[in-house]
Amino acid sequence: MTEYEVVNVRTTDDVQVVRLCGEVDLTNAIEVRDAINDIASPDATTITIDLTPTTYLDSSGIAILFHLAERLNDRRQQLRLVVPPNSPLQTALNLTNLPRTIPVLPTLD
Amino acid sequence: MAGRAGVPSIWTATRLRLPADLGRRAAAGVLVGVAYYLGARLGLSLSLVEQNVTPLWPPSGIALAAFLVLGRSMWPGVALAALAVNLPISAGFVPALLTAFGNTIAPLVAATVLERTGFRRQLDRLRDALGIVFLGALASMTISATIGSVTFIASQGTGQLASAWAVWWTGDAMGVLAVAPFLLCIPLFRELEPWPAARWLEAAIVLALTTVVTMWTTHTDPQLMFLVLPLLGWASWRLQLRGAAPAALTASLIATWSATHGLGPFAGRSLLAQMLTLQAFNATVALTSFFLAALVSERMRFIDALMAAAAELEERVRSRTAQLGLEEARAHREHQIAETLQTNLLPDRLPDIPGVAVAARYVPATADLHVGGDWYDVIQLRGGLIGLVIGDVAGHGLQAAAAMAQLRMAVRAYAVLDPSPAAVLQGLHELVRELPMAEMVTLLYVLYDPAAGTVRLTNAGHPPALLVDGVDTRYLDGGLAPPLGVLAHWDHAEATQQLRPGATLLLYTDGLIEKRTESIQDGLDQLLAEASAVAGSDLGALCDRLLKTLPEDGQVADDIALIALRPLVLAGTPLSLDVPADARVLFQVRHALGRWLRESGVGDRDAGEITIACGEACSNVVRHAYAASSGDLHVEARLVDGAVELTVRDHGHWRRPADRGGGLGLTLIRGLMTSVDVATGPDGTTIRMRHTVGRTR
Repeated sequence: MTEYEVVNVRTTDDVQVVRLCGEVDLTNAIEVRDAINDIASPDATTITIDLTPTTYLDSSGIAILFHLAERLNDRRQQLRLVVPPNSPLQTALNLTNLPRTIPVLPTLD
Repeated sequence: MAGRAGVPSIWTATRLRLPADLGRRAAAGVLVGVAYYLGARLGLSLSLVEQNVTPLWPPSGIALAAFLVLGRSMWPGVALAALAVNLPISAGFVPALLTAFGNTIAPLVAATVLERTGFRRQLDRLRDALGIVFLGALASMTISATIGSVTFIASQGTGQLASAWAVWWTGDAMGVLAVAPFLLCIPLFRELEPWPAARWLEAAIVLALTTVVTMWTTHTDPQLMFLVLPLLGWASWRLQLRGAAPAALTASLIATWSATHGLGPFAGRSLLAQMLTLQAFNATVALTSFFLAALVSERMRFIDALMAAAAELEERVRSRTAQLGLEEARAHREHQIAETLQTNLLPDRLPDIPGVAVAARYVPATADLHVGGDWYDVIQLRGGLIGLVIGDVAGHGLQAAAAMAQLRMAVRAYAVLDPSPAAVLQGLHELVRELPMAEMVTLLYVLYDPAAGTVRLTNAGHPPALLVDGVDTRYLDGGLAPPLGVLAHWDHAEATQQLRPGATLLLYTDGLIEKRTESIQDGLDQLLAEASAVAGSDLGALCDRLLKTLPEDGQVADDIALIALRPLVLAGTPLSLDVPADARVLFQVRHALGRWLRESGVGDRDAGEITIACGEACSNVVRHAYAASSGDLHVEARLVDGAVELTVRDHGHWRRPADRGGGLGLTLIRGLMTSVDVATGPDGTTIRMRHTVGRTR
């Protein structure tokens, strides 16, 4: 029932932007991870996941972000996140110390 | 002579084709001739005066019986034998030839006339008895009597024609009456049902008694010859022709023999008296026997026919009953299948949708035993959307139920692919066009979006949905389309309508508004009025109330399906959700809580944090509280003094967070909420959380 969508937005200057829409909870976290893995280009140096349209992300969603960062790091790629300052996700992400490992940007620009 | 000349050629032609049959017929002809000749010798031996006055002339009976049983082709045997008999006692060849002609033609005429009148040689009907007495004996024998007596008087030159004629006639007639029935009864022993031994014994006794009684009464002085009649009655009654004819013949022969010898009652009487007595006796014997035998046979055949008719009737009733039983059984079985189909097609339990109340009813028609084609369905779709369907397949019984089954699954399938009303209806429309259903299908599909608080609907020829919202109760008449599959092309438009918390959307089938005595518009008006009156009541009570008040005199003319949906009013009251501890409800709980927070005026950021904390607590319950078994999950939220108090409770046993490999979820809960209290007991775990909120709207 939990709906999500992973969209490959664009790739410029070796930076690939992937947009995650909808919600991520324990019912679809693994699916979302696989979808991002599938869409991530091995040629990009940086993968930016835009969480602006993400309306819900719980601990299982945060766990897959850690997992993705680790995997990309192994391939010498970097994961970055975009989270608007007023997003309800902001507090949750901060609580898990995620921004220390994964750079979190306020906007895509 | 021309006839004679033609005979050999016919015989030749016949021999070529049927030699065996011809041989048999020739042999039969010879036998008939011999029998005729012997009968004549017997007759002559019974003459009253020399070889002149013969009271009983058996050959006429033999000839008639031969013609009736073996066919008229026996005539040459009869004719030759008659000539042989007459030659020695006639005054020359020509008189003998004429007499023989008369003796042959009379039984031939008799046989022809009898056959023309539908005579049955079984002598088992009254008309057959009458036929042989009057046509076969009395009438036909006037021919032989006339030819014979005229020839006799002419050739002799002396004597009285009238008395000669009378003697000749009575002799021939008596010969027919006494002998013909006896001979006719002989084939019956082979043709009819064979007699058992007891019947043979009875026949023998009757015959013996007849012989004894006749012998005795014809040898004593007193006039007691009538004593034989009861015996003949017995024979006729018990044995019919096969018993009566031999007895009658025996009695006649003995009586005639006695008369020729002037014994007993015939002693010392004049010739005329002897003649009269004998002929009267013989006539009585013959008539009594044959009429009685014929009557009894007729009555028995009548009884047999009656019994056969009764048996046939019984058989027909039995087979028809069996047939009806089969038909009834088949109809009953079909009804059962249809009922089972429909019962299984209606959701046995409506889904628990947090924050939304749903109620449904199905009432079969009171009088009609057939299962109707109405159905409803509630489909939970992705993104928290809820599809509501109500449909009506015209007609009843197995076919309607089967069509309904197909359509129900089709709606679900299309809605899963694309839940939008226009898409679902377009899909159904094409399906019904592709797989033509004999019956007309109307359908109303509604897509409810709890997050947006809207309903989108399309209506294919179905009665309109009713929005029950206090004073603003009205029918939703947008999104109209013709019944499914009626038109080749139709752009399915959809209508969108706000469904505010507390308002009710009511879908129904025409059974609720159609009545015999009123127009549909009256029915619609009445439903609107009734629904407005009970707009505020509990959803189940609202449905029951409508079903109670709308049908006339409590009689449901057509099946009624009814489904009602109401977004619950969440603001101002605590939220309380009881759902199964299943990962699939996490989404719904989250959304119900989100709607409650929004309607309670909690700001987006606070609401987001509370929602994540609630989601984490619920996830823990789903993942850890019940292991592999199922259990329940209770979520409660209330606003107290500028803070949201959230309680998540289960009745299972949590494993310690340390055992679960990290407590990211609990970390989030503790970090997001102002205060958290986890109480674990033998009856389950309760997490109480509190989050202060600044009202933003």
